[in-house]
Amino acid sequence: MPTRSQKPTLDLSISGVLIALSVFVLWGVKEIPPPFFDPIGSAAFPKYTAYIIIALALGIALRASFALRNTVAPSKESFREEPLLAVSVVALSALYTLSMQLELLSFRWATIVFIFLLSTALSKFEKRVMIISAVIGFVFGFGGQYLFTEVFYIDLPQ
Amino acid sequence: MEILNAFQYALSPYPMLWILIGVASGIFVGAIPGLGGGMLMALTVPLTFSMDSTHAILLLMGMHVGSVSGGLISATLLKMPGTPSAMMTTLDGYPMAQKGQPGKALSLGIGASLFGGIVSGIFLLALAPPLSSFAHKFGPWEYFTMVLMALVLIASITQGSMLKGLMAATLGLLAAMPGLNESDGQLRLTYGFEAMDDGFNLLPVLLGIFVMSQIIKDALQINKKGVSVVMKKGERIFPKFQEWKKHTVNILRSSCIGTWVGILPGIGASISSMVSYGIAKTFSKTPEKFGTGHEEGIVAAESANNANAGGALIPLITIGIPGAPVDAILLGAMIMHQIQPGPLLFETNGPLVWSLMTGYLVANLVMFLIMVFSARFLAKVVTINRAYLIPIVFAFCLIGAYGPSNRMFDVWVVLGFGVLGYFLDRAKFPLGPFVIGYVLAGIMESELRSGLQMSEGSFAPMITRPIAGSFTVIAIAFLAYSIYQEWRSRTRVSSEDLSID
Repeated sequence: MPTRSQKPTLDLSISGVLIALSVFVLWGVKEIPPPFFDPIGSAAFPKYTAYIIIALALGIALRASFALRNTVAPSKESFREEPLLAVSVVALSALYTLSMQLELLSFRWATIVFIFLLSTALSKFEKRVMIISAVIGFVFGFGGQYLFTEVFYIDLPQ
Repeated sequence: MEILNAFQYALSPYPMLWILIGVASGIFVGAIPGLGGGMLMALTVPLTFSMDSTHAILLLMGMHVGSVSGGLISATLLKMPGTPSAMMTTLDGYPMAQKGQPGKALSLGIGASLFGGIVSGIFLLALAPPLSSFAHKFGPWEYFTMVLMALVLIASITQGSMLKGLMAATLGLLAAMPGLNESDGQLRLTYGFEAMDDGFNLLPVLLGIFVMSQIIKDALQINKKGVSVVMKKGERIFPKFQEWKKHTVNILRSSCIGTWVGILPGIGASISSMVSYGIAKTFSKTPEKFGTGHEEGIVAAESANNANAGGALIPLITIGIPGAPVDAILLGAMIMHQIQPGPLLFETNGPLVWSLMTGYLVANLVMFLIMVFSARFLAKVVTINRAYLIPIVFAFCLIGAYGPSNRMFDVWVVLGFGVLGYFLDRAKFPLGPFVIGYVLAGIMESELRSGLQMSEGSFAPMITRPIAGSFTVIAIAFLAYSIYQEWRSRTRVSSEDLSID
């Protein structure tokens, strides 16, 4: 069981975020009225869960800060990571969702554009992938709309 | 009699068709690195709403069996496990393929997978009914302490730091808190947002954690490519009887280990294959050959990970606690189809539960036939370009999240939990305990509150009631043992550092 923190900076950041989240939960718990027919009520569970998260986050942060002092060089991956592509996936997925939520595009057209753009970005503008993804986009946009609404009876954003 | 009727049902055309579709799609997805059974099952759940509930469960269960086995192909031919549970297979499967015997490596793995599945299926049929009767004795305190024990167990046994395992399980509990509390109808942690009144629904959370986080990771690692081994034309994949005979003890031992680890709540197939691989190495006459393309290594890993799937169904059926993170999806699907797993399942949905158990055995046989006859084709599929897959998978996520409730909020939940899952995974927080914590939070809270009402606010029944007391003691013992292990491991690392200095 490896116990030394491999990514102490990330552990510290996550611990900080989780402590902030727990404080936010504790603030929300104050709004819950006291119990009226059972001993603990609805507030107890989230409250104690938040306390446990704070305690565990402090433990993880403490260990990460020890690891920071004698950091081990991270093992090198055999491939190059692409953080920009990971961000593109999240950003384009959010835009895809937003375009339908704001009723700018229907599922059909939003899907065609989304599949084409994301495949293009992931393939780093490889021409062959762009052509094939345009075809996939059309097939999935039109075919998917028909399949899910007419066969599986699932409503899709119009 | 019930068992014979169930076999007859599982082998009839419609259920057989769904098992076949499930297993085939599971193998296909399991073979592609970066996709997995959890992803496929989470994406399929919304499509099953209009289906007969038994067919839906058989389809999903078939996917689970197929995906665990499909991972073997890319692990052997590409040195990239298609599913995490096939990681140990890579250690010996790929070297054997490199030595010019990819067919033999696949045949050993496929044969071991079949036996693992059959052995755990027999355990499933033998153990589930009596355990279910035993679980009838459970009251609120027994359920509460059992869930507590399950969470401690998952967090302790899971790979990596115990603190992170516990944190992941607790975060899962917290994620289930917002919205309407079923115990008293009280709204909580909604912060004035109407969309939060329903809380974070099960399906979007599962899609976020299992699917979205994985596609973010896939995009980040898009340059990660395996070194492919090509199979020669006409190479034999069908396992030989002599090979099976030679490995009988190893197969039986690894299958039993896989089943047992599967029965322990919340522990997945990866740990089963690691444990049985380690034990096979210990008992082997040629331990030095492990990791160099040794037959015993492939057999141990593959029989254990398939056996785990059957073992994990036992706690799901008998007490309603998922035996592995992927089973949380099966649990979710059952609940969505108005089926409540637990001790009463044999009484309320007897035909379904018998069909599920016999269907599991049939699914393993179907898996064997599909794998033997399609491995050559699947060897070509494993190198499919992920640039095509990632956008389609998210489009499926959107349909799966939006479809059941027609709320875009659920799609944002997928994105949010996907990003959370990605960062947790990157920092080596295990995602299995998170999912199990999320799924079990409702039972844990409602049972605790019922128990406290019965005991007028006293926590003493956690110790004084025999079954609940045993669960509490096991939970404390596991926690203490894990803390001791972690402390020992830390001191060992420190002393190694000192000696290096």
